[in-house]
Amino acid sequence: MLKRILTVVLLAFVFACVIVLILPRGETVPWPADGIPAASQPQTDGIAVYYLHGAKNCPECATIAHFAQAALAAMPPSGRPRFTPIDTAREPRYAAAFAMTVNTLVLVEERAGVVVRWRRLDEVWRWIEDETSFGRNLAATITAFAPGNR
Amino acid sequence: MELAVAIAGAAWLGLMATASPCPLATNAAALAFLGRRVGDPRAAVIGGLLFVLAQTLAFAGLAVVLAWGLLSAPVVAATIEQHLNRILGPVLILAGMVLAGLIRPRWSKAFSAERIQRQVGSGWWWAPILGFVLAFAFCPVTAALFFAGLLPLAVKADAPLAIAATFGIAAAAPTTVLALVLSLALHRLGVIAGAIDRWERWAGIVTGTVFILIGIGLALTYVFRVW
Repeated sequence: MLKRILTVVLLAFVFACVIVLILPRGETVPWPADGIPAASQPQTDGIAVYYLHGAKNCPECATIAHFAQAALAAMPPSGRPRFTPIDTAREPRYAAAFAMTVNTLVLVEERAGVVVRWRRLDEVWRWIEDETSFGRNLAATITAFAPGNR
Repeated sequence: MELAVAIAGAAWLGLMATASPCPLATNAAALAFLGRRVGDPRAAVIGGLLFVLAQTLAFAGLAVVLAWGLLSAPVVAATIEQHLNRILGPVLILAGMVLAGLIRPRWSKAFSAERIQRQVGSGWWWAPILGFVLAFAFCPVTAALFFAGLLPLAVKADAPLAIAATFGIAAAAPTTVLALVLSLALHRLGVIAGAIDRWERWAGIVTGTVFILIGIGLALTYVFRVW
């Protein structure tokens, strides 16, 4: 009897999975030609750090987000980039726009509601061993990315 | 010299991929599946070798295809994230239900219930199929090691096949060796206790249960987005 109940429950769970899998999943059309819409809210011109993550947010991914937020918080308030998490499972167009292969950070320059320039930082995966050097590397990369230093 | 350094780097990345907690679920599935052959150590060894070979071929094939520019890495990564990881959960649940004897599919006389039950448990081809499927079930850490660590290394050294094959062997071998040690130890104990048949039946149930639990976890993560 217990075996039969377990079987029915598991089959119902699999059936529910199949229903969710075949249901249409939101808008996936490409961005308009005039650029990638800025994700930071409220929108202001400047540099932002996007944290792109998929459905599974691993401990190492959480470390990347935590270290990045701490590094940004340590910067002077004037011109401090904003930290903007983006769930690419819900917004797959951002994953495509930034050619994402792994959970990562992307430095972007936002102007008039669109991303005018960006740089993906997959190297953050090599920085996560040490928070201090992570912060130092991220700050140096942001400084090099800033409009005045191009 | 440069190639030797790159191959050593690939081996290190492969070991990191298997040691990381992130792919623990898929490694546990492989461990349970490969270690369940308590009654037939020779079949367990062959299954383990085929599992390693399948993972090696999967990683090497993917690296070659990406290094030659036949597919774009972001497209492959997005396809794995959006499709493979989403269907893996329900597939593992169904496989686990068959292994645990909860369902007995009846497709035709040629594929009778007992025959399928026996084949899912013991057919030699299941180990490479599992190895191949699990190789593509990237979690964020293995994706980072493969796409951000291994691929640039393979392209720089201009030897994607050798480097990705090294990664595959290093990633699959520890789990396989552990499974074989477990299987051989249980076999030895089973012989002493005279309980091989009973242990094999239990090994099937345990493997099926592990598959079901991992499948539920993957489905909750990738299909229902619970966490």
